[in-house]
Amino acid sequence: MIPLLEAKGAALAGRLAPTDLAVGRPELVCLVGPNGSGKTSLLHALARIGQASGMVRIGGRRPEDLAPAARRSLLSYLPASRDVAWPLSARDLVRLGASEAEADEAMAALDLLPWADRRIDRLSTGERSRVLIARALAPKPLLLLLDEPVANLDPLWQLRLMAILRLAVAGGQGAVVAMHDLDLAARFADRLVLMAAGAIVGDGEPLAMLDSARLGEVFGIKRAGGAWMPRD
Amino acid sequence: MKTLPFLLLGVALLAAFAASLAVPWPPIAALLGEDRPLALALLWELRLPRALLALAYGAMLGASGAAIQGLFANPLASPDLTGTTSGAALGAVVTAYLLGFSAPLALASGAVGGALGALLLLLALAGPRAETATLLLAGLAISALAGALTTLALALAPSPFAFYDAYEWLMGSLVDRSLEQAAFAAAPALVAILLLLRLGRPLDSLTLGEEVAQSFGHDVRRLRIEIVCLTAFGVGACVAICGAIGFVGLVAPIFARRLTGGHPGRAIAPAALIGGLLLLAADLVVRSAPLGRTLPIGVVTALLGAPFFLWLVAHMRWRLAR
Repeated sequence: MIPLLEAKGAALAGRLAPTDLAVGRPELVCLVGPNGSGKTSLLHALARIGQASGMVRIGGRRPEDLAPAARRSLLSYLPASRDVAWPLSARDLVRLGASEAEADEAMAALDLLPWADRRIDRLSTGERSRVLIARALAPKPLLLLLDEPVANLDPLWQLRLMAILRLAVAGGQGAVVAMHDLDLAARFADRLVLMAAGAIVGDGEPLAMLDSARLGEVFGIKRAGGAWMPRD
Repeated sequence: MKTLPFLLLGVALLAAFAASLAVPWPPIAALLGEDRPLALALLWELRLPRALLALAYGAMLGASGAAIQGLFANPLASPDLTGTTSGAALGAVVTAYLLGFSAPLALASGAVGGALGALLLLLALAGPRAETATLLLAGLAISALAGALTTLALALAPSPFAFYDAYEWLMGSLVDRSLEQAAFAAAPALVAILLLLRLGRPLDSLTLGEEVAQSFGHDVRRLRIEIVCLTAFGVGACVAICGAIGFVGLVAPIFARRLTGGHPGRAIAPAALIGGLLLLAADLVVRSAPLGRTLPIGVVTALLGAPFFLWLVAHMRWRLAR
């Protein structure tokens, strides 16, 4: 069987050491790590953004071999920035990488249809985040690469988004998602990948990863009384 | 995009083009009765080149303005505010001193070179996705430098005639250009516009940021180089024939995006139509002004465009303050 994602020596000069990452079957992989640990860089290297080196195959195909029209069924990338250069309507923005039907479906899933015709600069930051997430989900690519999708979302929408991602995985898509909320990641992910200083330093089953000494060391935190505390 | 506004724009453009040939009509009508070949020659050799130049130059400014604004993700970017037209003017004046104003190919090459230099300098100074303030300051610096060098070139004019020729040409004029000269501007402009139209989709995807555009599979570096070269090529050729004409490249894309729901790339085609329409209209104003002598069209577009620019700056203060 062709693995969903196969990355060998994927690297970005000065930001990400040559990194291997494999996702064999549809699963939700959460990337965790302190600020500047290389989560965004790894997502860039996988999405072939910037001067990314190494080899990346998604569903057996190299993204750089595909024209834009074909690439959108392979991967989509959500940046951490919620900036939009031009004040398009929410629907037009989602339509930038998807058909009308796909856009409507994604907007319905994120409960955005009431705002579909509103200009993006007239929405709150959380609503704008949801529009941009809908944009990334709409084409239903084989692999979702999402950079901090839950940032700016309220607690209910954080849970709903994670449930939507689980649904996508159940439907055969893979997802590599960078996030900072360790408990949320552990609750919904199939795998937790821990990053530090531009390299992967841990990879495993979420609850085991959460309890590992490695994670506490990397973040400089420890669990005490059910909450995360600074180690010293 | 809806088709109706597009259709209306097309009709308005045709009407303006026809008016540009026909206005003022009475002398032509009188001549048609008396000396038909002379009347036709007048239409063919005087009015047609002028209308053609207004259309081509305006369309070129509109299309390149839309592309540059999309590229810099900034509604205040345009060929004139980024120093492209002043760079082209400098290139043309220097070439003209060396080879005279009667060598259109050399003049056009000089102008294209100047425009290219100005745009590359802007990219180097301001960076690809510059803040509005950085972009305007860099554009201002380049315009000021090119303007000063052009003035220096004028001061060092080899003869009073050369000075006068250059000065008149600098003010921007569509008058007394031959059909060949018009073709020298219109053909490169047409090619550049057609090639710019291909870039609409990648430009639209830049709305989501450079990284997302790259994840779509668009080569943003190549896009940047293509837009810079096409703009320099088309605008440079027009500046070589007609001198520098400002503000059309700023205003046309802003109206065009109202027709495309804000999409920057899709706005290239309507911006070209609106640009052509604006310059044809400005030329009609020049012709109908009861002053007894011809105003340079660059002065008219500046007089109409500057207040619009001021309004835009006031309107965008929130964005400038960012």
